[in-house]
Amino acid sequence: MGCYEKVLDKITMTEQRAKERKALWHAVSSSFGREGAEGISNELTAETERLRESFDVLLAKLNDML
Amino acid sequence: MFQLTRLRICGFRGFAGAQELDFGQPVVLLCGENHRGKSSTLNAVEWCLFGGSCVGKKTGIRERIDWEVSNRYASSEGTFVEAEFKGSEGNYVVKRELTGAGRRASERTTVKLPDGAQLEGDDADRQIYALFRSSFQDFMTTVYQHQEAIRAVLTQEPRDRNDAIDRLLGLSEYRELVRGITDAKTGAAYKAMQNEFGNFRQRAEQSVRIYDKEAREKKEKAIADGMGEEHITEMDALARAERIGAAIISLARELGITDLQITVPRDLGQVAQFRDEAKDKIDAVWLESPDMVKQTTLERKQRELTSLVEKYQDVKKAEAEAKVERDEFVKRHGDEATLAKAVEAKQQEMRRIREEIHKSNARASLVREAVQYLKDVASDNQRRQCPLCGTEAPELLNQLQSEWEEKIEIDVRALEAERKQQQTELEQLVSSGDQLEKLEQALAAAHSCTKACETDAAAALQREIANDDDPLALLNRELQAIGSELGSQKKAIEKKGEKRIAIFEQLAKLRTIDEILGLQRKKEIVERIWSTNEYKELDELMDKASEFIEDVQAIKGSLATASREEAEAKISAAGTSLEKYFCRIANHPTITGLAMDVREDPRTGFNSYSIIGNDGSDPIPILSQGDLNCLALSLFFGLADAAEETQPFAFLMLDDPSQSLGPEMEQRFVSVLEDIAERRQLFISTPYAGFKNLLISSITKSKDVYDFLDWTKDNGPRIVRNA
Repeated sequence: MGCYEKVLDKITMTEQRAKERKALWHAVSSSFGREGAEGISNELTAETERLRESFDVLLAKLNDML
Repeated sequence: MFQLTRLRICGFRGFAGAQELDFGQPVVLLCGENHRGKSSTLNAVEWCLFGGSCVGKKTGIRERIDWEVSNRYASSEGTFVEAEFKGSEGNYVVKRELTGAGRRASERTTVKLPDGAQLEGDDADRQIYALFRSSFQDFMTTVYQHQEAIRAVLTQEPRDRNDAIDRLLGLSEYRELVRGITDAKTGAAYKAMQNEFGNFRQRAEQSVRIYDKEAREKKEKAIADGMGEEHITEMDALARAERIGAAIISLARELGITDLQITVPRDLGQVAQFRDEAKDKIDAVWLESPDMVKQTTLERKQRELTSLVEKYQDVKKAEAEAKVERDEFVKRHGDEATLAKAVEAKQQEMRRIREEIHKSNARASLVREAVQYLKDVASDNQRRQCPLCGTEAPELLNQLQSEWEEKIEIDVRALEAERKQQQTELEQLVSSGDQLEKLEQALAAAHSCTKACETDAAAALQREIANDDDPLALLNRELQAIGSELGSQKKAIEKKGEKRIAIFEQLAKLRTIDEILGLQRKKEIVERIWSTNEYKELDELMDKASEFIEDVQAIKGSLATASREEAEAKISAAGTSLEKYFCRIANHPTITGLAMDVREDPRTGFNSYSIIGNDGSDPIPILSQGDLNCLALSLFFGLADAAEETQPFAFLMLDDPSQSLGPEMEQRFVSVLEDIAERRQLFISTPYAGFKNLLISSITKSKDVYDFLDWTKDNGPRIVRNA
């Protein structure tokens, strides 16, 4: 059993957010296959930045209400 | 199990043109200096089987980053490796070619089966996997001992050694995956968002408290100042504003302005603007009303005349002082005519003295000429005798000349002294004249100022001021009249002023109500933030971010656990062999047994390995470079042994395995190889002639010895086979 399957097994062992984690693991391992560790870092950073951008927009609106 | 029987290499790594090597013997030695193509030969087997999987960062081998597969001077035949494997069913020929270059490079695989059939592309790749059932990681761990793996274990840095052992165990992929996740710093980004969100909530709660406190304090003060609590409402504020508007219009009418308009607020939001407008309009109405205009005019006139009085007093005083000074000077030194007369007299006296000096000088010259004449006309005897008494007087003429010159000199000196005295007195008189002139000028200027001030007073009073008029008295009389008129005027507008003040008081109350209601409204707005869509969305976003971070951590944790479990399984499988090989090769005097343990580093998520001696202590600090080399080889042999039963490959490849071994260790290592050679075909590369000779002389199995001699860019290595 390869690394991908082993990690997938561990993820699905816990029911909590198994579907989302499987999808994330798939995205992480695909990025790794394409660009190595840097690819993973870029993939996760991009997701974090997407959250951060939405966060900044909403927080700015709330700050205006203060 | 498959034996490697033949290898054909072209344009791969250190090979330029095509070369073929046959491996018919149980032991194959690849010998030669560095950069001759030994490692390229072993790498060629790996690339032929696994292609791109053994290239680049993902391999976990630093040397494989930016690894060039094609030789820079490859011949026109291109880049390919062909390997022949002998199995129980016959021979399989695997060939991998690289076509194109850079990003367009692609691999093409073919497999020739024992029955002569040939598979290509994906079919060929599937056949390779079906035959050998190995990944690159498996091959690297149990078949091919890389020289880089030994070099990495030799480091004394625990972190690097853990990395190297991971690589030896074929777990680099896990390590790289964990590193990629860690490098993204998702946790730090979420923490920053959490902090900012927390700060925002804190500020919002603080704002509610501050608005509430300020509103309560203002309300308490307003009630203490007499405002009823029932008046602090929006309705009351609007009604009050309407009353204020009406009062301002009424006041304006009283002041003579009939066209004033004011906008009354319809809701609380317009009250602040109304207050500003009301204040501006009251000020404007007040200042523009006829009574106020008259009062302002009188006040301005009063200020103007007061200033003129002060100025006139000042110039008059200055003129009087200038006159006194001039008069006292005249008293001491005389007037202009007296001084001019005295100067004339002094100048006359000076002329007389100069004439006297001139006469004396003429007399002296005459005496000198007369004596010289007598000296010239008199005989020697006459010169020596007195012409009156005839007595002997040898220096008579000289003495006479000297006496006369002395007398004249005394006269001249006295005259010179007198001239100097007269000169000094003359200069004093001239100076006094100059001073008097300046004093006269100052007096004239002061007088001119007084006249100018009188002209200003005439203009201010709008009448002529005759010479016998006292301007000061005239100004004071006018001031008195203005003061009286101002008094009457102020009394006249006092009542209207009271109304104005009353409006201002109402405005102040309106302001207080507006501020209290404004603070209460602000508090309500902030309190409503918690139920806004934006806040709900942000709250949901934070939950989403938290879940994302948890997912990332869960994957990182799963990777760490899977990596650790695999490491534990491999170490457990290789454990006995590891200890056996290490003790046998290293023969360390104090380490007679060792075991390896793995734990997860909770901080990094990486595997952390520890070596435990049979006495329970950590032997690493006392291990030499040679011992660490033995440890790396033992781990490899241990893993190879563990996989032997299921291993499809009947050979092991060792690249420069003796790099840090001493002569005795080399002997013991070779005896281990002798044992392994009984079970497996061995491929050993070495740059050391001594180790080569030791292998040739000590290993009893038949050997193929390939010497890698010169290397040229056109042909690659020159390889000579010695039986």
